[in-house]
Amino acid sequence: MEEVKKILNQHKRRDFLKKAGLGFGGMALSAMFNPLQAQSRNNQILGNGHFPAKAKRIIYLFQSGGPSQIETFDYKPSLAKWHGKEIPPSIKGTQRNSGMVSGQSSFPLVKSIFDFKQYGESGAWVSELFPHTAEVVDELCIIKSMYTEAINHEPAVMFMQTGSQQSGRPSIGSWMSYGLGSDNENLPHFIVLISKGGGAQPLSSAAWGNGFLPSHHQGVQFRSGKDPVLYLSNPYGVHGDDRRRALDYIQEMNKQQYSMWNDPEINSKINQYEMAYRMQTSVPEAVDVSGEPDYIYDMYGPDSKVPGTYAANCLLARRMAERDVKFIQLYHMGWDQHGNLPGGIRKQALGTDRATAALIKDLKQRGLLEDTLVVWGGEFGRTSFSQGRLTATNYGRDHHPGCFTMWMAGAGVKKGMVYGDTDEFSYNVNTNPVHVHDFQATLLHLFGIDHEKLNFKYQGRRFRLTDVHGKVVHDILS
Amino acid sequence: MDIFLGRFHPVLVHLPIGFLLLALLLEFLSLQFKERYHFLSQSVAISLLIGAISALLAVGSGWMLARSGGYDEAALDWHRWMGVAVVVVAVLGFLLKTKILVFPIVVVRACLLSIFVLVTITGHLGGNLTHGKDYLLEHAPAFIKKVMLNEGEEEVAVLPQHPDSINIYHHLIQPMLQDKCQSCHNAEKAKGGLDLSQYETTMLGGDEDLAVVPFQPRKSSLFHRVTLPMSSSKFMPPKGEALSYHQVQIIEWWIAEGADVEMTVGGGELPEDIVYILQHDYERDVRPQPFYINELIEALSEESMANLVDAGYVVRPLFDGNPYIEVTLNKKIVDGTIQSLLHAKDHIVKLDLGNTALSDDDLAIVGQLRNLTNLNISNAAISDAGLANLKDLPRLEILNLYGNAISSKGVDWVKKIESLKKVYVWNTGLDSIYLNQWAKENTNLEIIGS
Repeated sequence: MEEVKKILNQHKRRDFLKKAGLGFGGMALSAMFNPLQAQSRNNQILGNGHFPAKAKRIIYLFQSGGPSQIETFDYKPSLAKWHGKEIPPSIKGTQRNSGMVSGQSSFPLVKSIFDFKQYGESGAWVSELFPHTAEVVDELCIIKSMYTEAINHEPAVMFMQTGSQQSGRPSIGSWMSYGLGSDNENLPHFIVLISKGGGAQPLSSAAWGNGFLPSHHQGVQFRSGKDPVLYLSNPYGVHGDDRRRALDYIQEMNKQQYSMWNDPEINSKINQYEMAYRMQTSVPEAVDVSGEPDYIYDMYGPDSKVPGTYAANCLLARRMAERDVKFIQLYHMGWDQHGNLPGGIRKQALGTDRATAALIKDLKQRGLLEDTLVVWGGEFGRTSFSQGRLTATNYGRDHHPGCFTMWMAGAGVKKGMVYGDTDEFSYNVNTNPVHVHDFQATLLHLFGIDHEKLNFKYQGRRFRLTDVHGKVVHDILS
Repeated sequence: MDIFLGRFHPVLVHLPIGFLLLALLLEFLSLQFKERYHFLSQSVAISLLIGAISALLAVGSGWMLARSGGYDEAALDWHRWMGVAVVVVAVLGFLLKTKILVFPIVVVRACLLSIFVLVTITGHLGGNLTHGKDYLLEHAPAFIKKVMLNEGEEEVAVLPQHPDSINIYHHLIQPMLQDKCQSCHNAEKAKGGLDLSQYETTMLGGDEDLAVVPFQPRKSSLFHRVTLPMSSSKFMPPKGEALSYHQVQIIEWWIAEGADVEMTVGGGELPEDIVYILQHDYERDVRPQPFYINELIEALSEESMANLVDAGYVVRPLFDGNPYIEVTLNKKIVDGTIQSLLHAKDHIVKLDLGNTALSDDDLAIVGQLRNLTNLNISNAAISDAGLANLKDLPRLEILNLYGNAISSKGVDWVKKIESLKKVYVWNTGLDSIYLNQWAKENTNLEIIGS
């Protein structure tokens, strides 16, 4: 047994030196002053970016289910004259379709039932579903040429969030937490908020998992209810000082174990205990929205007073951003309109549009949009042909990886820009295609990280968020 | 007339190659498979005769084509005289094979073998004259190139990272010319008298006009000929893929700027198009770099850094290895908190003092941080008078004042900050009428109210 420990220790000595500098604030210090860190080593935390960062934090508004690009941002007037006609084989090509339409004998094209108008100085087209988003369109960089590889929810969400269709890899937020640490020691680096209700599609926590990275980098999910984090107060009869003392002893024991085994997960455990302790005071303050003035509630809409709604989560997200939480991940489900699309998407838009726009405005007036990146988008798009029967007032659309629309706003991204284009059916990407890995590479770039350099050696090979792909989309950077 | 007949050379040359090689093939088959093909040996002589006659025609037409000029003399001479040699050995071969001349069989075989060698070499030299030396192996697999052209050792012009080091001629123009023009316009084969392989020869121009007239792209044939309609007989390049629009833009810009061989990308202000092309096609960011990248200073001492951290600041370098820092206050202000910023007077580029009890006196200290570009003093306790301290910050670009009680008097101080690009004044007590008026006065300043 002693032999085993010795060997393990030898292997992890260097890791220990590295992790000694892991404490908050000390991270920057250690990077600057620790000469050992000057050498590149396996699984090295960066602490600082490779080049100047434009963004310090991100609010990722994940619209789970795959919002239809055709009903929201990708205006296709040409679909009107094809309405009800079969999709030409030259367009449909060999692109993947899901099993859900494989039995369909006819693939009638269907135009958007919603009207579009141009807004703002940029003149971007936005559907009538999003009147509030339309107001802030000059702040957005709309990417119409996104495409992905997956055709079903789980793998597509995983691909978007972790760079791999199979679950088990670290999510974007974990990579950032691992790479850059935090600017606020009292709150987790990576917080996940999920809207209440949502759709039928499940959302698995692997999307904000840490994969093979140390486990204190995983996303911390806040509950969607009145108390986002339970049991923050000490148990009845336990004084704060006692708790502190107990934690100190636990830490002491953990450190002993760590010096014996050098298992990085023991360090994660210490980190998590300490974070939980600090969260006892920081979280109640951060999530207490009672002090928000009425005009702020008015901006986000009446829903923002109902804990757990998308609007309330947007408001919380702003408060987290103010407190320098690095990665704030929202999930809003229910965008999966296989049938009854007109009704379904209208409901979704009503639940999200106002709060999304309010978040942009609110961040902007506080100066936070300067170094906060906001991302809106789902995991894939929807087909230009109807799934199920097409009637005068009703239709559906199936999953479509070939093209979809996302937008970014804020730190380091060109304002009022529409990037990329799809064909006149919104079925294939026409110009400036942006693959999911390109999007991820761009995201890291905005945080000053070279996506090819942020890696982690695990099971004998170095892993990256973008695997061996990804190209930064410089065209959209300001 | 010479040139008219001369241009039949490329057609005629294929005849001797075919006939002579056919003769050799027939000879080979008749000897190797005697029982089946012995009769073929009867055809060898006639094949050699036709080969010799067509070779003579090829030599004649080639001779005339050579007079049109534009070929490297040395290479042309070799091709010319080896072509003549082909005719000679082909005639000799015919005489030997028909037994008009009688020699031992070894001599006959040697003669046939020399026909093969000469035809191959002459043909290859001719090909090089027409298509350029690198044509044959241009798309060969890497290992063949390495052996045949010693390519691994050749100096390849790698595009440097820094814009100051990107020479427009060497790194942008020359590779384009090499790719699209030099197969016909090189030292050995200068079509139209134009040799684009060197800067000097490029500037000499061709027989008819100048390839490059500095400052005048429209008078430069290098620009003119590549921008003609593709259907024009003068359009360049006549074969292969045309120059891309971006490449043409670079050529135009280089000539318009004087077509200097020393000119680099980093010289001065660049047109937006060129910046975009360099970014998009060459992956080089050539926009002017901010001072925190260009003007490096000594890194902050360990002691000063420790002082800042002890005072409650989160300190980060702008990026790894950069001496400038970004500072955020995460604790309450006590005596000496703001004072300690002076330890890093030259280093602080971004400072976040939002949501603190910052006073006007504290701002006097902040006003000494000469490299500050971003300052956040939102929701603090400052008044109009305090803002006077910021007027001398030479690099301040973004100022966040939201949530402070400020009147137009304070704004008068802000207006004095010439470098300012953005100011946040939501929730300050300034009304929208005033803000609109201010925005009209200062069109270069982005004012974010509500």
